[in-house]
Amino acid sequence: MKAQRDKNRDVEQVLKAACPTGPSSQLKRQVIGAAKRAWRREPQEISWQVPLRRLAVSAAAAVLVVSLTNLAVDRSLVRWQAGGLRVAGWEPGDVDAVSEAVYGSRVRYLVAAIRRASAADWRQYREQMQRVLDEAQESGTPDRPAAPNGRSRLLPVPAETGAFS
Amino acid sequence: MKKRSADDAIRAALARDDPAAVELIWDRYVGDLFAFLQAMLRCRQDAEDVLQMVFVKIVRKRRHLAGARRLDAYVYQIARNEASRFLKQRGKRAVEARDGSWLSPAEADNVRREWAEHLQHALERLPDGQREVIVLKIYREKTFKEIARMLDLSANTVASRYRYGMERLRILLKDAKS
Repeated sequence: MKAQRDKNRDVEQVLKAACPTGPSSQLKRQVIGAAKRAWRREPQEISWQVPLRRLAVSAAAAVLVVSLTNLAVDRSLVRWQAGGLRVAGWEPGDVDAVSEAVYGSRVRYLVAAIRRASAADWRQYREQMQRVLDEAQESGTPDRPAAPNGRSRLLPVPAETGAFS
Repeated sequence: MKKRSADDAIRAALARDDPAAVELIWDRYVGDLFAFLQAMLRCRQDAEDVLQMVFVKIVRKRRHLAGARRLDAYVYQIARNEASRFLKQRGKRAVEARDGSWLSPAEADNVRREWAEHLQHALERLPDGQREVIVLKIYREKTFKEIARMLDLSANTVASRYRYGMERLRILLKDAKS
């Protein structure tokens, strides 16, 4: 370790026979002049400008990202739109396909009632239906509730409410 | 302690947006900075050009400089970046005939001038990192800790660069003597 240090000391002594030259006074004038000109040309930012600028940049970046995402989504959906978009839907007629072994005739009756009451007052309708079902249960589950005067008991009487066709 | 108070004065001037900060930065850093740039660029004239670029850059980044945790490390980082950019540009364009000498003899006589040239050539054959550390250690009398702080390196890295550089120099100078 000591030998290493002595060797380094020898080389250090040799190196000290020369040295890098320092800056001249002319260089000092030139550099400081250039720096001060730059100082005057570019005034320091006022403190409130910094967050404002950051906000503007963030907003611009957000708009850019949203626009690019919209563009990408539109492009990816083009092939789906070309053939026409088919959406699965439910039609009231589909209820006919419901087959109930035990309640088949009752379900068909209810469906027919629902169709007739397309613009019915649903609250009144629900109460009435509940009443019909209760009666049906009490009277030993007839297949079809009796219709007074040939009309469905599920529907409100038009004369009373005037709301059903 | 003196250096810390100089750094505090620079920070205060920067906070006031006072152009006098430029002179304070010059007084505090130019000796080490100029030696460092000469070691990195291996040409006095190029070091003068880059020194001016460094000061202009410092002025442009003065807001960041005022808030920097370590002022010296920030200044040397700017110097290193500017010198690297300059070297890249110099590599692209045709190299002009410039006076390449950056090491001058301590006493002006022909023998010593010739020996200074040998030393310069030997130093130029070292890797950049080793040359920078040796120049700052020997010619600016910095400690490993100070160099590590300036160059944002660990003290061990600086010490090993110095040791390998000195070993290499010993061989190169022996060859030059013989």
